[in-house]
Amino acid sequence: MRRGAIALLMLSIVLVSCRASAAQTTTTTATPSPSTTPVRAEGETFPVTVPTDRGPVEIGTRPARIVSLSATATEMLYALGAGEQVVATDLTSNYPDAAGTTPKLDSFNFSVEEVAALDPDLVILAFDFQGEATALATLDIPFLLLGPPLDLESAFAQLESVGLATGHASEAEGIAGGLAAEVADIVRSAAAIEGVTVYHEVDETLYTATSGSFIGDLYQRLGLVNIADNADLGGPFPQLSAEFIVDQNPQFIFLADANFGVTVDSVAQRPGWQTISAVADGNVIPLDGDIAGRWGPRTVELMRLIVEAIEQQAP
Amino acid sequence: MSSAALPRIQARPRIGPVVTSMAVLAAAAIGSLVLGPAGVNPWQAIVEVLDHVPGVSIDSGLSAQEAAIVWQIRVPRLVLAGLVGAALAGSGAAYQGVFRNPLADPYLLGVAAGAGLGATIAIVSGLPTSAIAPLAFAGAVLAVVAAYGLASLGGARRSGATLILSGVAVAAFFTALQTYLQQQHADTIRQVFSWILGRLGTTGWGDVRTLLPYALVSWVVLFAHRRHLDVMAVGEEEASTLGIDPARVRLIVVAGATLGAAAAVAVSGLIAFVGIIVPHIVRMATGPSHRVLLPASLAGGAAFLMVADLVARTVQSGGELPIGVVTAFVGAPFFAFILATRREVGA
Repeated sequence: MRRGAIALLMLSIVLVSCRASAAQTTTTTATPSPSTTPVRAEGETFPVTVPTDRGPVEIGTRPARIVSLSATATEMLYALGAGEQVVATDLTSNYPDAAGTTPKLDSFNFSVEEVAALDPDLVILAFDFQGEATALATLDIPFLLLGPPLDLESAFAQLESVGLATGHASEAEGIAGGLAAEVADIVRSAAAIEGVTVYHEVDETLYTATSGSFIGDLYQRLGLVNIADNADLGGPFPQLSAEFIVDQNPQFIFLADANFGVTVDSVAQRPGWQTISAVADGNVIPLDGDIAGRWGPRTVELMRLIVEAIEQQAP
Repeated sequence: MSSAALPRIQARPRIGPVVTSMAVLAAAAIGSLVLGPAGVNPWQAIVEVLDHVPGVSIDSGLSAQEAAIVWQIRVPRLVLAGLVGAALAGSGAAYQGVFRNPLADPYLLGVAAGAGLGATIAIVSGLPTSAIAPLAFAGAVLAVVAAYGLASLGGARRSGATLILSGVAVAAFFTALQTYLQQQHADTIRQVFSWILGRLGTTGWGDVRTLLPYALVSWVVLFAHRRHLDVMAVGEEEASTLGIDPARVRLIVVAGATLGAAAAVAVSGLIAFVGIIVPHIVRMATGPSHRVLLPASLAGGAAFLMVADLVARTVQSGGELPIGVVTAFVGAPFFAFILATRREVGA
């Protein structure tokens, strides 16, 4: 059926994008809000040349009207102290609180005209599904395309790109450096949990993430063994079968779909899952899907949470 | 197939095809039971199933985990595949018979569009997963009722063609609503697409229990009208002169077929191809008499979907292909082969 074929195509597209699309309604209030960084680094000189997924982009002047169509980029902007330069964000941008109150656009379904009407001098995108980037270029609206990275270094590099493009290069450098140091600390502290087997659930139809994905890279850095790597499936986000997961018998299950109603109980009620070590030992850990689905500064929080969850349970 | 091309109804239906399809079904079931990514010992897997037969107690020697894989994952899955396949193929055979149209399938009158709308409503409103099946079922039934209502608006007793066209209109309208809702809720788009692609559930015996009663009622209704369908095959006017009320038979058969198809779709999503292809393949082997066509289609549909699911589950280590992809990928060439090698078929 044609419908089926279209659905299949769309599914594959959406799969790649799911992490950023996770439009959750919960608002998180963890960590001191970085929205008000008091120090404004002066003397950032423009024009600057910013590395992006589409190659280097030149930004002529310090942007004052930024439209962020990526929840991750929004978190980065506010962390860098560029919050007051933001004029609109996408529907899923719910962190920090200040971002939630900006005018909203649907990053999955917006018209370039509607963006242009906001008169932006910088647009940040995570995806270019229908040639929106090309349309922005046609209108001479500067944009950064910063899609899902595959590892932490690329995520930090994106943070620095956002900093450079918005006149916050020195803050970006400082924050990225601080985050990298924190990650190194966490990884050192994780030596004791090396070899623990984990299953990371992206959604309840058993989509997961391998070590080839950004989130999988985090588990791998912590020395954890991702059962998705044992499946012989293509792509960073394969769909596993229930039988495979039960057979792999992971020690920990992390639920990135907890914001979508998947709970420790609902996992335990799945047929056959009671025999999985993680379920039997109470090691099913709900994650905040907003944090687990993005690659912003809060990623480090997520790593710490994973380590703590495992350390608490480890004998 | 068009009415002109229908071969003569045989006086005595052949039993062979039914036996053959039952044998294929049994083989498919055993294959589905013993094969899977977990590599459970095949013989022990069979013993584990026997252990669950009332009055039988044998130790399969499987670990608790392997036993759970066999009895809580594989067996309900293969039973569900069988029920869904049988329901779709049986309904497809009935629709093709009652409309005398080779392109008829269980989704003809809007079952798919209605179920899609119901499921989408459940998903985008954040209802629990358990709400998807009832809403999909309600949507499917509503669509067919709407198609019927639309067709009878003229007051007169309309032909099957009017009903089909009403179904087209209703399906288009429901699909438009579904697409609109889906587009307005991009955050749940993946769940909606997963559902549309069709998936044999992971809820174990729950889906089986949900589907079974509807499927049984549907099959009883269809079986009770198998002779009426044979008479209708010669044409509505001819059927009337033989004392059959075509409109009434059509209503009852469509209701029965819709019940089965809607329940199957509600638990499994939109699995393409089974409902249209299996009855054709079976008809080529059995001839057009619904006395054989219906039971053989049930068995054939069950076997076909079990095999398709087996392929879906095992072709990639650790993961699954969407079942709808396998049914069409395996089914289309197979059907083309059958068509090409059976020259006397007029369809």
